[in-house]
Amino acid sequence: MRPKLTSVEEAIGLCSSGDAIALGGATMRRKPMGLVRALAGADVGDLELWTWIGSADVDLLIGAGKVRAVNSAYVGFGAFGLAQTSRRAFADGSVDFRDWSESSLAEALRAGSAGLPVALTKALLGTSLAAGLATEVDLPFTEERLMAVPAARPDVALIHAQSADELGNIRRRRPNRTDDIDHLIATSARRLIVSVEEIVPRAEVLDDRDATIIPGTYVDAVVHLPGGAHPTGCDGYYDPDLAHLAAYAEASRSAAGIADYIATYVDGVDPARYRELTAGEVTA
Amino acid sequence: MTAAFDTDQMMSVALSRLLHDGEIGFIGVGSSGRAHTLVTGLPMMAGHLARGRGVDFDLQIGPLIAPDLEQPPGSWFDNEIYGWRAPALIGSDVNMDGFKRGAVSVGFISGAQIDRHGNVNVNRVRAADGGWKRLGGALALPEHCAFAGRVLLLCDLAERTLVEEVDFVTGFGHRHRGVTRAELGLPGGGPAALVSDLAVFDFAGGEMRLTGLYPGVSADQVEDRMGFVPARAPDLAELEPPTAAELERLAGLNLPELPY
Repeated sequence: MRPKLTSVEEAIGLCSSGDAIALGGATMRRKPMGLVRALAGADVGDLELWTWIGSADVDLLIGAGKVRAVNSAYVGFGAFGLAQTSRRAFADGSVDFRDWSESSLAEALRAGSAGLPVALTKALLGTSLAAGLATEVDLPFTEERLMAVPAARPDVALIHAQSADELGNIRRRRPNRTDDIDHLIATSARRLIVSVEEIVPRAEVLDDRDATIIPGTYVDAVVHLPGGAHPTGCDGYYDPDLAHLAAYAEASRSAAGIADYIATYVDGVDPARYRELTAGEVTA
Repeated sequence: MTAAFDTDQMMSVALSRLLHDGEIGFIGVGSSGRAHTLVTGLPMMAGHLARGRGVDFDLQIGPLIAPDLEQPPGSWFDNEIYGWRAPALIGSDVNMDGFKRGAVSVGFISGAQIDRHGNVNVNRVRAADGGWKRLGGALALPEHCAFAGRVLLLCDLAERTLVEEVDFVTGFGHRHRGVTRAELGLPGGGPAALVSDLAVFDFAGGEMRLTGLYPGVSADQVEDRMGFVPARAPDLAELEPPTAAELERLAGLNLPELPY
């Protein structure tokens, strides 16, 4: 295993224009926002996003003009309502939204993870979601009606985790309050970038291997980004920053608002500066 | 004498009467505003009521299995919900597999649009200019409709919500443009009832049918708030109001403040 610890710039350098980028986390928990901000400020575009349950990650990248298509089962802010930048991009046709259900999208990622070209689902039968996404197929061994969806095999996955060693063994610590499919996001992608709250000694990993959720052999780059999920939360470190999320939701109500937000928190703002800007906002 | 009660209490009591022994109900957490109260708050209240009557009814909140309703979370934000005292928090893909193999007895859902045949739309609605307006997304609503033993719909009646035909089928009901659940081979039972703010409906024959009115509500009042005229059950009657015991049990459920 080679060392994987690198800078955010080097890590994001693994992403190219036109890539399919998978984003981990769900709604307000462990969205890879530090990596997303770096991607939003990088010289890449025309991205196809894949995420199970999207929120500020998808909305911000759309606001930065980086996105051509979104695959997800949801983009929004839960209790804070709808993702307004995404809604504008949908209404004006500038982004192609491919709307999935939760299980069918998980199946597509699972197929990609397993090296299969398609996944099978019944969840989309009879729905309008199936148009352009799923095709009914005849199968051996069964008379049942099933739909096939293409496997998801994103070019790069970005996830935010709690800790890792320098070799990229990704750790989860208690409490576990997750409702995401980060392991499928991670294994479906051709390259994997993980940001973490803490870098821990290798001995700690070897002494407690049960806490390792993704082995370093699967990981291409690890970035030490404390607060890297902000304004979403990271279990065991900090809760979602509700005030910042509310401010984001408000900013995203207009194109000018989201442009101001990006000018303030993304353009030329490195992770250290971002932590300064949001210090006192984080509700630890 | 009947105690004073509010709409949410009446809805939760009506919903609780539809829950049975040995069932597992699935509650999602992705919604906001009134929809959140409808599909998260009311099913928790109904489950609490059913359990108070000795019905062995378990809830799961997304992947959180059978949380302790006696000790609710401090807020409705999902980091607190998933910190709720419970025997298990399972993986999200494992959770979806449970849906698919039929491990969920009852799904609780609402929609921006619900039509006569129980099709539900939470993805996108037609704007006045003919374009589309995007909502949040399907989440696991298609799974509720495809796989749950039965679906219990919750909504406030409004002409724009109760429509003859949904603009977009997120979750399949009993029939859409001549195609039926049976023809599609969907494993779940589909919509069994709609519990609204004025009345309760079933889907006998695969079509929404007015079966019970809340105290003091007329069938005409109900129809005035819908975009189509539903069938009326021959035994359409006024439902019993919440009992004092039911209201007392609800008062003992210290849920976080509901958004609406």
